[in-house]
Order: sequence, then C-alpha cells, then structure tokens
Amino acid sequence: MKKVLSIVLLCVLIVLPLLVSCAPQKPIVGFFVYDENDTYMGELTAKVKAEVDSKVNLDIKYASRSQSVQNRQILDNLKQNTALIAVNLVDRLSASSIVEKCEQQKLPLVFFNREPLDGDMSSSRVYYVGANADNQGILQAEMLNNLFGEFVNTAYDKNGDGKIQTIIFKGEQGHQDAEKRTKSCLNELKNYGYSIDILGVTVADWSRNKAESAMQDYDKLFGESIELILCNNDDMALGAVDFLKGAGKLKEESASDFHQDYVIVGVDATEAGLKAVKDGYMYGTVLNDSLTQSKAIALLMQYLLQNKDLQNFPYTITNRNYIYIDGKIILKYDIK
Amino acid sequence: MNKRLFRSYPIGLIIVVSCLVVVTLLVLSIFTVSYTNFTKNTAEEVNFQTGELSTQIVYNYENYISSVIDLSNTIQVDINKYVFDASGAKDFTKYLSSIVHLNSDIMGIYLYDSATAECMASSSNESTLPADTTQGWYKSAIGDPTVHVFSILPYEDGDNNYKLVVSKAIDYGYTDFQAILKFEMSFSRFVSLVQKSNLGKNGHITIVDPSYNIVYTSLPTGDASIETEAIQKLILGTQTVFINGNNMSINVDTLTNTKWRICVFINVDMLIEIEQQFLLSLIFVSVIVLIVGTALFLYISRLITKPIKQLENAMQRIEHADYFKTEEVSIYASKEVESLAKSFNQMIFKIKDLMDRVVMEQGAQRESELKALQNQINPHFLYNTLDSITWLVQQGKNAQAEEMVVSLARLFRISISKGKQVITVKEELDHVRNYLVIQSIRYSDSFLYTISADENALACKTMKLILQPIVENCIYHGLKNKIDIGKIDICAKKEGEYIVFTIADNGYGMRQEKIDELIKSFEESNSSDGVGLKNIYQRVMLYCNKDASLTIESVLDEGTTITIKERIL
Repeated sequence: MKKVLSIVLLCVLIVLPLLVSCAPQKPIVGFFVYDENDTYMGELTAKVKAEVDSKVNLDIKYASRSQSVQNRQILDNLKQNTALIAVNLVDRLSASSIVEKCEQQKLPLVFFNREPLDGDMSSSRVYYVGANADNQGILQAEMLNNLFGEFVNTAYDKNGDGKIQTIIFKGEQGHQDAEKRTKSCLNELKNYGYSIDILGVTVADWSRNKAESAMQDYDKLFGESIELILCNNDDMALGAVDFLKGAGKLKEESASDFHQDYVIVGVDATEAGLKAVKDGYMYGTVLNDSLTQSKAIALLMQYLLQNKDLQNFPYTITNRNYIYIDGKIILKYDIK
Repeated sequence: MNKRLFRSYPIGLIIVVSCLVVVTLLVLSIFTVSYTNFTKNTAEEVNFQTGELSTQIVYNYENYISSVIDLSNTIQVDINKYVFDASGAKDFTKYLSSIVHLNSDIMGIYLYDSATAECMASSSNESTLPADTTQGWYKSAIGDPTVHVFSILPYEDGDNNYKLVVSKAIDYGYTDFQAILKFEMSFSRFVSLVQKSNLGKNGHITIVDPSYNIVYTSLPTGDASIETEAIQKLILGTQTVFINGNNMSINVDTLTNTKWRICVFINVDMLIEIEQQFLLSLIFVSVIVLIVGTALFLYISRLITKPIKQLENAMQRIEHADYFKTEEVSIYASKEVESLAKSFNQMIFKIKDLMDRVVMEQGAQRESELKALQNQINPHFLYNTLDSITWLVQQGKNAQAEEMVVSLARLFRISISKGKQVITVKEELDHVRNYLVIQSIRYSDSFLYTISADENALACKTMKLILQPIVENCIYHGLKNKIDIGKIDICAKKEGEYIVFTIADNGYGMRQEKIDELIKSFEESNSSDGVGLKNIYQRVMLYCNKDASLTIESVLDEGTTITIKERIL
C-alpha cells in the first residue's frame, strides 16, 4: 500500500512541473516581414512588438524579399501551434495560397502593409491593415499645391514652361501602395489644375541606394530642368537627396520657408526622412502612420485571438475586412 | 509475489526467460528508436533536398518572370518618351522590334488601346489585328491594372505548341490614356527551365492557377487529377505522396509576380528503398542478436545448473550407497558452485572423520574391556599356587615345588606375553599345560589330562587365555570331590578358516537347563555370574568380530564338552 502510494506521489511530482510549465502560455503569433532592411517596416515591427509583447509571443521572421522564403517561414511557423499569422507579403499575388493554408489550419490571418488582391480576401478570418495609399498620394498633392500655388511664373517653374517637370521614384512595380500613391497624387495634381511633364519613372524598389544611382542618371539627362521629385517613400527621396547633396546641388536650409531648386517629397515620415525635412533637403513627407497602424494591428490581433466581435473595433473597417489608416502631411514646421 | 512466481521453476529456465525478456525489450527499443530516427531523418533529408531542388526551380522561374517584368517596366517607363500620333507609333514600333530582336525569347510585343482594343503598336508590322477582348489575358489585365497577367495559350496555328502571354495594363503620361501591353514569349525557354533539373523517374513540375486548374505540366502522360487533389490538400509546402506508382515528394510554392503556383514532383523511390533496406538490415541484426543472446543464455544457464546437478548427483550417490563412502566431488565451474562443492567435500570428510573416531573409540573401549576381563583370572589362583608351593617346600618336596614354580613362571609369562592380546595356539596350549601341571600337583594327581593339537594349528593365532578358565571350571566344578579319577582332554584343530578348541571332561555334567541358562547369560552384560565362560565368550566374540562360537554339550554323570570355534584372523 505504501509502495503504491509512493509511486503515485512520484508520478505526481514528475508530471506536475510539466503541467505547470504548459499551463497559461502566451499564444504564438507568426509575424512575417518582407525584408529586414526596410526602415519603415523595421519601425512598424518594433512598434507592434512593443504593443503586444506582454500578451503574445511574437515570432518575427524576415523573408529577404523572397516569397518562397516567406512561404517556408510561414509553413515552419504553422508547425509550432501558432494562434495567428500576420504577414507583410513579399508578393501580393501570393496571398491566395497563404489564405488557403490558414483557412485549412483554421487560423486567423492578418495581412499588413501590402494589400492582397481583393479576390484573395475571401475568407472570413482574413484582414488587411495598411496605409490608405490613395489618401497618401492625395496628401502629397495637397502639400505640393500649398507650395506651388499658381506654379506658373513662380520660382518653382524653373524653365517657365508652366509644366511641372517631374521625375517619379516608384517603390515597386506591382506594389499596390506604389501604384496608388503615384497615381492618386498625379491625378490630384491634375485636379488642382497643374500640368505635369513626366521626365522619367524609376522603379527603385523603395531603396535609398537605387534611388541615388537613378538620380545620378536623371541628373545627367535632365540636369537643372527637374522641378519635382515625387517619391513613393522617404528612403528613395533620401537617395535623391544623397546624390544632389553630394553633387552640391542641395544645401541645408535653416529658414522656415522652403527655397530649394528641387522639390522632393516622400511618404512614411521615417526618422531620417523627418530629419531631411527639418534640415530643408526635402519639402515634406506624408506620415505613413506606423504608430497608429501598429496599434491597429496589435488590437486586431487581440480581438482575433480572443474571438471578440469586431463590431466595436475602434478603427474603421471598410469593405468587411480592410482597415486603412490615413496619413498626415508633415512639413518643416510640423517637426519640433 | 515475485518469490512465489519464481519458486517452482528451474534456475536455468528463470535465467533464460528473464534474460531473453530483457534482451528482447532492449532489442525492440533500440529497433524502434533507431528506425523512427532513421525514417525521421530520411524524411527530413528528403524534404530538405526536394525543398532545395524545388527552391532552385522556383528561383529559376521567378528569375525568368522577373526578367519579363523588368522588360515590361522598362517599356512602361520608355513609353513616355514616344508621342502617339500617326507618325509616333511608328517609332514605338521600331523600339518594340528592337527589343524583340535583342531578346530571342520574345516573339512579339503588342500595345492595344484599352478603350477600343485596337492595336496601337506591334513589334511586327504583320500582326496588327485588334485584341480579342473576350480572352483572359485581356480581361484580367483590364481588371487589375497593377499586375502583370501571365497566361499560357495555344498557338493559333494549332499543334501542341504553347506560348506564354504576359499582359499588363499601362497608363502613360498618367493621363486618362490607357493601354494593354502584351508580350508573346517562346514556351521552349519556359520548359527548358525545368529540364535541367534531375527530378527522377516521372519527376516533373506542374503549374496550377488559384483554382487548381493545370496551367502547365511537364509530365508527358498520366492522370493529373490525382496530383491536383494532392496539391489542393497540401496548398503550400512539402510532402511525400504515393502517386501513379511512385513515391513523390511534392513541393508547392507560389510563383512570385504571378497568381500561379508551382508544384515540383521529385521521385523519392530510392530513399524509400533505402529506408526499407535499413529496416531489413535492422530486422536481420535484431534476429541475430536474439539468436546469439538465446544461445549465450542457454550456455550460461547450463554453466550454472550443470555443476549444481553434478553436486546433486554426488549427494544422491552417497544417499543411496549401502556404506559410507568418501567420494570427493570435483566440479570445475563457477566460483560459487566450486566453493559449494568444496564445502560439500569438507562436510563429507568431516563425517568420515567423525565416523572413524567413533570406530576408534569403540575399538579402544573393546580393548579396555578385554584387559579388564583378562585381569579377572589372576588373584585366587596365584594365592592358592603360592600356598601350595609354600606347603611343598615345608614338606620338603622340593622337586615338586620347583616344577610348580617353573610352571607358574611360564604361565605368567604367557599370560602377560608383553601385553599382547593375541598369541599362537602353541603358546595357548602351553599356557593351559602349565596351569594343569600346577593344578595336578596341588590336587595330588587326582585327574589326568591330555593335550593334543594338529600340527598345522599350532602356528595359528588365537585370543589368549581362553582355555585356562574352562579347564579351571572343569577342575573345580567337574572333577573336584570326584571319587574316580578325573580326565580332561584338550584338543586344538584347524578347520578351514577356523580354529576349534575342544575341552572335554568326565565330570558330573550339567543339566540342559543349566546349559541354556549359561548360554543366555553370555549375552547379558551386567551379570557377574559364571564369570569364566561368559568372559571367554565375550572376549572371543569381540576378538573375532562375532565370527566365533562357544558350544556346551553335557551328559549328566558322564562329562561335559566345551567347543570354542574362532575365526583365524
């Protein structure tokens, strides 16, 4: 009898710590980012992590711009009893596979920053959180309108032809945000009544270095005639700044007014971008509100993990499962 | 519990069974662990290898696709340099033809007005037909202007040839002007991307669209429905599936910049075979280990039980033997059994020792008894004889006195005979003769005596002093006070292995009852009655180990004959 009792006791002693260790653990959330070297995504990721760190176990993976790598990272993550998947896609066309896989595993799925095709968002537990790219383009146009005013016969119309000689740095060909930002901005500028002469469009992959070298080519081709450098993000704007600064064509400007030869605008309001605006290299940027986006992502994760009704979700949900965060114009005097 | 379980089975069986159980469990657990590890490792290895291989293939395709997209992007950028009026389209056409000329994969590039579907520019002047707006490539490109639409279409001129068509809605000058850019590409390049990789027998790639319709497969024949089912189940990732008689590792991945999914099928029959071989060799080794183990345990149990059996047999031999035999058990086996045998031997020798001592002690007791009995003879006779000598000397019968002294001396010499118990028949006869000489002088020749012996009996050994007490009895009880002259005949004969003494007198004789009483008293140890005869009887019996006899025959008033028969030792 004693023997039996001691064996039972022993078993309990062995099993108990195991039970305790498995007891209330933070749910694992797979968080997949398309590239580690993207400044904006780095900031967004850090903010999301800060928001949810106490509640979930955020497993962050960077895909080095390969959808194939990201697919494998997601598959590996699915093997670990993940509770939710959050994906910043490399290729927006690949969303359907991931949606299907998560549906098969009955996992909620949150896309962020790169919007999948509308047709792929069919599943009920799939959401998208991202910037309102159209809005960002409109805001870019708005701030340019504030600067240019009539444009014709102003200092900004350097060749006096009444047209805005523009070069465009596009983030990526096929990137929803890149296309939308460019298109809505140009459309809005047209709506304001400007006529635009596009000197060139460069797909610089959101990259500062690529933009810098492309700027060099444009400088050779068009030189002083470039009046507006329209960039889909701050990094590329900074690339253009880097070249022009290096070539001595852009100088720091401490005055509160903007008087540069080149009007450079970006989107995102990264730290480096804000500094460039403050120093007068860039005219302005649009806040791609990473803080609000991260808060929305974090909150959405918790709602989905707890199976809460999204009726009372504080951010506007459009089209059943899209959450767009509007931007904000940031000019020199907005920065303290 | 356990004690009861093991109690009634032989040691050998217990050893063999318990060791076999342990070894079997051990072999089984090793078997399971190594087999599961091996299969897990090979599965991981297969997944890894096929993953790597398919990653390479996917990478090739993605490179190809992105080169097409790069070209498209370049055209999209460059298109802004051209003016589309009646003459400008010509320049753009030249531009397109130069691209086609430089890039052998591209068979044609076309630009269609999205509003009218009219062909605005074409790399070749011949094909300037308007676009078929019902076709997928056109509709999809219009539907989502941000993506490049990839489709695989058959050639217009039939056959089994296909072409890769890439279409994209473009808007240049960011005006309302929209167009559809269309590339027609050679399919052979697309096919060649997979042909470089060795995917094994029936290994192939299949490209499916999001609805799992097969867009392209490099599998020449075979039922595709089974594999689309497998793809649909897998969605993404790697898995080994048995398809169309082959073990195939499937890797499904997305194809960047397209909505397609690429599925790489790699034949892994070989790895399955290796796994089976491993299983077989594992079984072989396990069986060998079990057989060797069984043999070893049988041997060990034999080694342990055999000496125990030997010991048991030795004990049984001793148990069943009629007389105690000191047989040394020599067993050369395990240390424990050897020491058990040693202990057993020691015990046997101890018993033997004890028995020897008992025998020796009994012998010593017999001897001391003998001595005590012999000593009963002497005192009266000595006094009487000395008295007689004194009387003879006083009477002046010196010759007779001398004779008597000499006889007495001889008598005692034989009596003592250096403490020996056994003397020759001759000496025994001499002894009784000397006695008779003394007695006949004392009783003034009132009786006659004869002593006769076989010549061959004289040298035989006999228990000493057995005749004299009988003769003494004859004289005192049989002849004393007898009116006519008494007669004593002593005779010694050898009869085979026995010496036979007969002492006959012609005295009063005895009744049969008296004889029976006497004989009966021989066996009683305590009675002091009839000391003489009983003394002789017991001594002779002791001396001859009971192989002797004493008989009394008597006829009243005629005489008594006493016969002693003793075995010659």
